[in-house]
Amino acid sequence: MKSGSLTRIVSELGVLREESDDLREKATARLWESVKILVEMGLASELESEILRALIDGPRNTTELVEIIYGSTRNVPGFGADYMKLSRAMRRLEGSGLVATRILGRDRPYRLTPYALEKLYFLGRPGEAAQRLVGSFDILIYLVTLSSGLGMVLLQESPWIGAAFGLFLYALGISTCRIYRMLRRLS
Amino acid sequence: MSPKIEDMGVSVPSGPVLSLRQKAALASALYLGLCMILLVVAQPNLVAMWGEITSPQPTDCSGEGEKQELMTIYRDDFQKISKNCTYVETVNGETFLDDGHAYLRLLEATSEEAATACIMEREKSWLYVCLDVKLRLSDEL
Repeated sequence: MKSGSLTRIVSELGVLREESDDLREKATARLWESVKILVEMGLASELESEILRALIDGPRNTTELVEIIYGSTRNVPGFGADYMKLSRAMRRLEGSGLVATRILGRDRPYRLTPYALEKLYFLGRPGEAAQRLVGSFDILIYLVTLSSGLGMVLLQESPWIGAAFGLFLYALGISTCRIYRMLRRLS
Repeated sequence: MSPKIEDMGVSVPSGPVLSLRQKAALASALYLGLCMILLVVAQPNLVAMWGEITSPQPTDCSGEGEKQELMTIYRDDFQKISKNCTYVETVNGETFLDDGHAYLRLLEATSEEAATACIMEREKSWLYVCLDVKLRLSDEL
């Protein structure tokens, strides 16, 4: 009887261990998935992800975000510390181009940039990713512009100067459009 | 009116000095500025190129089919033209740089029968006009 109980307990412990291993593997996988998402988005903390979550609903200023995320209002003693933490996170998000605010004006609510929305859209989609702000085509076209510009300077009295000028104008037009598009994605 | 956040003793922390948008705008301004500098530096070359494009191109007077115009030039007209010329080339490839000399040589070359000559502009060696010159100098003289 005693040995039978022991055998049962040992076998139950084995099952539990197997379940525990399975659970550990799942937890590790989810942890890596979460870390990957944070890295993909360029986020440093959970607070930043909460800010993004709050801004999906629309533009908000820092005070409103403190109220939404921490639930504290201006008259609550801990409001100042929360405000500071959130402002620091906002600066970091601005630094990575995920949120933006108006350049001028007294009331300057933060909003998600089109670049952030693209990144959120492609988040967790294997094999898909938002376009980079400066892609290889952009680099190529900037280099072509500068090279043809340099060619215009160096090719004195050469019949190729016309070709260099044409290429310069063409590449400058494309690169200006690419710059405008990049700035729009960050605004 | 709600109190300002700074009045509550909260100092806004200093994060990154520039946002990504400001950095991108700055880099773009530098890039476009560099392009403009290149354009300004290359301007003399471009102006020269434009001058070459808009100036009349040398005409080949050697081929029969290339003859532009058949003219009878009288002595006075020819003197007027030759005053503005420093460079004359005959169909035979002879070139004369001196005004008077060119005039005389052209007379020699064309006094008996119609000849083709290319009369160049004074400033540059651009071909000004390509003529089948038929001189009737003997009549005038």
